[in-house]
Amino acid sequence: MTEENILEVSHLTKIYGREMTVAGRKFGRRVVGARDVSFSVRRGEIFGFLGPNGAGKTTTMRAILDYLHIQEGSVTVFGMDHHRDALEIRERIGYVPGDLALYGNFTGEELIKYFDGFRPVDRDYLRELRSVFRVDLSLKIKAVSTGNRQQVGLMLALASKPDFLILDEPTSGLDPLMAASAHRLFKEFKEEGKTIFLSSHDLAEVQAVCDRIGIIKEGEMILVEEVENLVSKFLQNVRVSFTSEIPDLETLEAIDSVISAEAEDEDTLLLKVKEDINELLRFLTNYELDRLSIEDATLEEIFLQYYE
Amino acid sequence: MRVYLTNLRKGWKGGVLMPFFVSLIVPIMAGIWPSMKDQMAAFSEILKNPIYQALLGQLGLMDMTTWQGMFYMYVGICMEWAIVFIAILIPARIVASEVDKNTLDVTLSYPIPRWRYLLEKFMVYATYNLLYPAFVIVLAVVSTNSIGETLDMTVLLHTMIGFWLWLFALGALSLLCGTLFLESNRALSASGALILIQYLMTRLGDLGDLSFLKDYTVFNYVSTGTIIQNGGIPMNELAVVVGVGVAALAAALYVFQKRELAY
Repeated sequence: MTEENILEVSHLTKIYGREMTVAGRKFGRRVVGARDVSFSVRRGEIFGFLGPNGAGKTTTMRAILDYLHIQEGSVTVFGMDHHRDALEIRERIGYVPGDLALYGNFTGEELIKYFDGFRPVDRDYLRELRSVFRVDLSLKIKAVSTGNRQQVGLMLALASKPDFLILDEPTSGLDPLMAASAHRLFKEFKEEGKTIFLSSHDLAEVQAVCDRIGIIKEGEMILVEEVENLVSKFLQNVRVSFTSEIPDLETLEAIDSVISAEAEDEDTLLLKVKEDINELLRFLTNYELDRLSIEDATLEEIFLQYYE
Repeated sequence: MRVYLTNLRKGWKGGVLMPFFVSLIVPIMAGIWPSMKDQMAAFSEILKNPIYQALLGQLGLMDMTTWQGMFYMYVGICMEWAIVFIAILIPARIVASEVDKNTLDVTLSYPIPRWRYLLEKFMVYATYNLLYPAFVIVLAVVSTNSIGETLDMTVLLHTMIGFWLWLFALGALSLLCGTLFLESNRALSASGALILIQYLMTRLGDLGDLSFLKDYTVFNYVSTGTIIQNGGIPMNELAVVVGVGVAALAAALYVFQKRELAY
């Protein structure tokens, strides 16, 4: 672990279930939760963790928190082993689970007081949080809406001003105004040198707050990249209009960097190109072009490409 | 002690009302005793039927013509059944209900050892269980005085301690089922099977040839019948019940501390 890395996940593998073969018949079922996942989160950054449903985001987060036993690999948080030093680590982290559930017969105030006994709340910061989140803390949790419950969950995670926040879809259920307030708080956290590891399906949120992202798919980490680089480097939309002959779509798709090619109309093609565009440009010199435009793809297009 | 104190405060309604309602059997019995007293000799004859004897176990050996005999028979039956249901339903769900509702994820992200969290929650159960003997003792003293009868206070105290020890030991077994199975339905099925089978073995053991079955059940030790015959709790039986309870509790704490929370 380097000084800069708050979280280091190395070759994490988690397989659920068991499979047995008795007399040639298979019993049980193995499901890959995460396979050989490696990444690190640096001090003072907001790392976005993305992937389709069931890709392994929550498994990875729960493994980091030592709720799950991993079969292979290692996880260190603040340079400490996530299993052996779990209590020490938990003194310095805040967590909002994806499917947030809080004790329904407690009020928000009671929950803050209850958890204050485990990890002391920063009173001044709690006052600030009360002004940001507009949730009535005197109400029992079972009586408040999903969005308000999410706000209480965020308050609980943030109130002790932990060094490291693990947030599984932290703004799901929040209205846009509250989500924006949460984003502002995340950025303030980052400015104070604290670190956030968050999963989200909200790409606007990822683009707005994250420094780097990791994409996980079918239990495997397929990309870790700076958000800025991702947009400029990873996918471009190339629109080409031809004056005469149009190249065959299959030939175009055979070029390594071309992900897809489709005809917009009879003389214009729209190509999605990954990384190096030069090979495509060289190929196009064989044709007479009317117009050529190259645009960065949106983050959404990039994610969809990785998700599919 | 934050978990213990908070849950003690939060659970007071169920924790106090249940023992109160169960203990109401005492004043009800005292109320009907004067009019039933003369019929108890005939009733005792009926209870000599082997089926009743098997159903009642050692409680069936009580002298029903006395207030003490009737008191212990009815309180014994009532408490046994209350204990069966309480021990099956409450401790097995201490963990399982949190797993069902998904509330453990947030709680365990705080720096509290899992075993301590579970122990403090079990202590809430054990504390409220003290109210069963407490209410019965208070109401027994008041009711007995009000009808002009007598009860051996030492036996009463020891009997009630015996009931609490059953709640503790069976509750710890039920808690172990909860930590092993995590999910409510499976945890309740396991604890229900474990406790009801013990109860059934005790009853079958009273049939004579199957008496060896009783040796393997918690209900066979520190039972009301034995305490009355002995004039107090036999120390060897106390050791068995406490031993089972402590071992089951330690196993539950160990399992919960070590096990994976995959759900």
